[in-house]
Amino acid sequence: MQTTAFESELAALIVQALNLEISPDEIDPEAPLFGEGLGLDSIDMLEIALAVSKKYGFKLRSDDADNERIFASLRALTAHIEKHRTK
Amino acid sequence: MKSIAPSRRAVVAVCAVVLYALLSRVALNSLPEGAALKWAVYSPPVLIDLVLCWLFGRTLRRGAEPLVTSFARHAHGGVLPHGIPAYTRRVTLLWTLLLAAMAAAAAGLAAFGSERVWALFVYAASPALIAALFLGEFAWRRVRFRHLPRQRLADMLQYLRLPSAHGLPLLRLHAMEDAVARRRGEPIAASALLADAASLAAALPPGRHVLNLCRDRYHFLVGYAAALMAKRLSLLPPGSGDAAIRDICRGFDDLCCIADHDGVPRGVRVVRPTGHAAAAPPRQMPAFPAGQPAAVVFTSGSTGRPAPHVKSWGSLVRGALALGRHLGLGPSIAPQIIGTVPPQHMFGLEATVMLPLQWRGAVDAGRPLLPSDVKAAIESAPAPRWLMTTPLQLRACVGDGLELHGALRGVISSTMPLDAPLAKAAEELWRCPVEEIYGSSETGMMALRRSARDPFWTLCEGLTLESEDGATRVRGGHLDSPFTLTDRVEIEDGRRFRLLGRIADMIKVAGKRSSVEDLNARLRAVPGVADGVFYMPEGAQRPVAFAVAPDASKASILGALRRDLDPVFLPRPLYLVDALPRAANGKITRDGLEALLRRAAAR
Repeated sequence: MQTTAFESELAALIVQALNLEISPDEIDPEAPLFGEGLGLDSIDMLEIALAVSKKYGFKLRSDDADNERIFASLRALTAHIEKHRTK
Repeated sequence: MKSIAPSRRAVVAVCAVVLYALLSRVALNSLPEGAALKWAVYSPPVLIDLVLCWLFGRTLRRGAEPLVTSFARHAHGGVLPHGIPAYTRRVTLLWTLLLAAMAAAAAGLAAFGSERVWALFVYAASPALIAALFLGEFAWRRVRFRHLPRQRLADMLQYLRLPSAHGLPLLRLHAMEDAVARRRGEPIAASALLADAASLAAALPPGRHVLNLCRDRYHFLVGYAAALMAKRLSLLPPGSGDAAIRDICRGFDDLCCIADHDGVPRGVRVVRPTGHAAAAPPRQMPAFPAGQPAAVVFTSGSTGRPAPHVKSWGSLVRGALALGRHLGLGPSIAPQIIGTVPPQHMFGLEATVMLPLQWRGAVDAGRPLLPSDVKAAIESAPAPRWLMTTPLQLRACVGDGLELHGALRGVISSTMPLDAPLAKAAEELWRCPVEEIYGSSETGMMALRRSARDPFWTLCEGLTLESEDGATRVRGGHLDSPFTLTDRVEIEDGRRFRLLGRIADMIKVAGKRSSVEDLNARLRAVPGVADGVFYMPEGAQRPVAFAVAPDASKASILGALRRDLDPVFLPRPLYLVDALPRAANGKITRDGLEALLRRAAAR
């Protein structure tokens, strides 16, 4: 399983922001972040959004009622940030 | 469908007019010409006064509710503030006496006065007297009850209908074209809601319970209205976690689930909220008896099966009316609601479903989470806008410095404590009052405060607090039954109080309450854990936990807890320690845990 540099960076940010009980490289980039996967919830989505906005100066936005899509996995979140950062 | 006709009253009125016409005909035929003419000319005003006098006067008898009190009760949603019943009884008596005097004067002038004086009295003085009493009483009431929310004349005229004998309406509106919801700013009319709800109600499989899992708030409304119309009880699960939903499903065997998304646990029959064969929409606005069980909300507790709390339709309506009056809503102010809380949560149900339904408002169908989405939702709605949210989202919005184009009329926060600096920052950012609701799943809202300015809570109208043996109970108002608070309370006066903190055993995470003892018991039951304790550090959003477990790994303990606990209560983080700071009697002090946390976090 290949993890990109940006994915690792984001994984570290998530673990730190959320006080998670795992090391960043334990996060499977394809596994769901929420619910059954890493067990995160909407409080964590907000924390991640806040941490991302502080670190990258970029405001996450789902553009969609379905927040779970952009937070579906580490890879999905990374892709979302990369896509919108370039704008 | 603008006026929902109270048909029985109309029939009585028509009968009375026909009877009067027949009587008049008999009188005109049998009396000498002059007397007959006199009867025809002079009797109607006297009879009208007498009928009105009877309508008021008959409600003054023992055991009946005075007519003006009924109007007031209707205006106040069933719960009358202190002093109003005695006052409205006197006003009813005053109207009775005035009408009796007018009938007597009109009869006297007909018999003994000149035609000119009679005509002046009946056509000029009588209407003037009625208007004077109506306006004078209205002005006096605003002075006499100036501590209550201001009432406008328009509101008062609005309530001059007798409370419907058929129950409390699903929604109140001006016209069927009024929006009840908006999706990305596009209005969805009340007529569409009623049509969708009728179609869904017809498509529901047999049974008595429905589980409403809809995420889109309009879909939720359709499911909720359909359940009420089909006399089903709506179960509103506290979270979207599979475990919670499976627990609920086990308790109700005749369940079907209304969901607008996939991922519903298998084995539950799923019905989509929309897209069913069109059924005829109701011809009258659906209304339901106050006592009809309408919804079940759940307190998750930390473990085991969620505990259900049944809400009657009446208590939900009364709560929404009380909240709306607190916000100063009225016929001319249709609230536009944006909510970030799920409609299945008690606060979400009250503030984003019942409030707009009962106050001619509309709600944004989305459930924005991230600050940018909250901004988009607010800006897509017309004024006057209210945001119903949580301190977590407020913190994220304020942290982002979220500028809004177009003003918010107000913000209401609930589910967890809102600290004064954050409330103040939000008020300054959006230049609107930020209020906080103190409530629970069992009761709905209990008190409100302007958190930036006021450490004291003001009890919602109709509720009373009583303290006994260190416990505080709240009763009355919109509540179906009294409730013992899980917080310690210092009562300032009858209406205002201060919270002194949780009763030590309770913690609250993401709007869910749990007993710490319960969590501890779960932790100690995990195989390999010799001792363990949960701890909520001051100002933290999540609990931490300490475990003494020489033979177990963190991963295995967390795995076991994840199976047992609502995920919001999972420790962040879990510390493995050699021993807990227990005193000789086995007790653990807060200071001991605080010191342990500092040591563990430093490692």
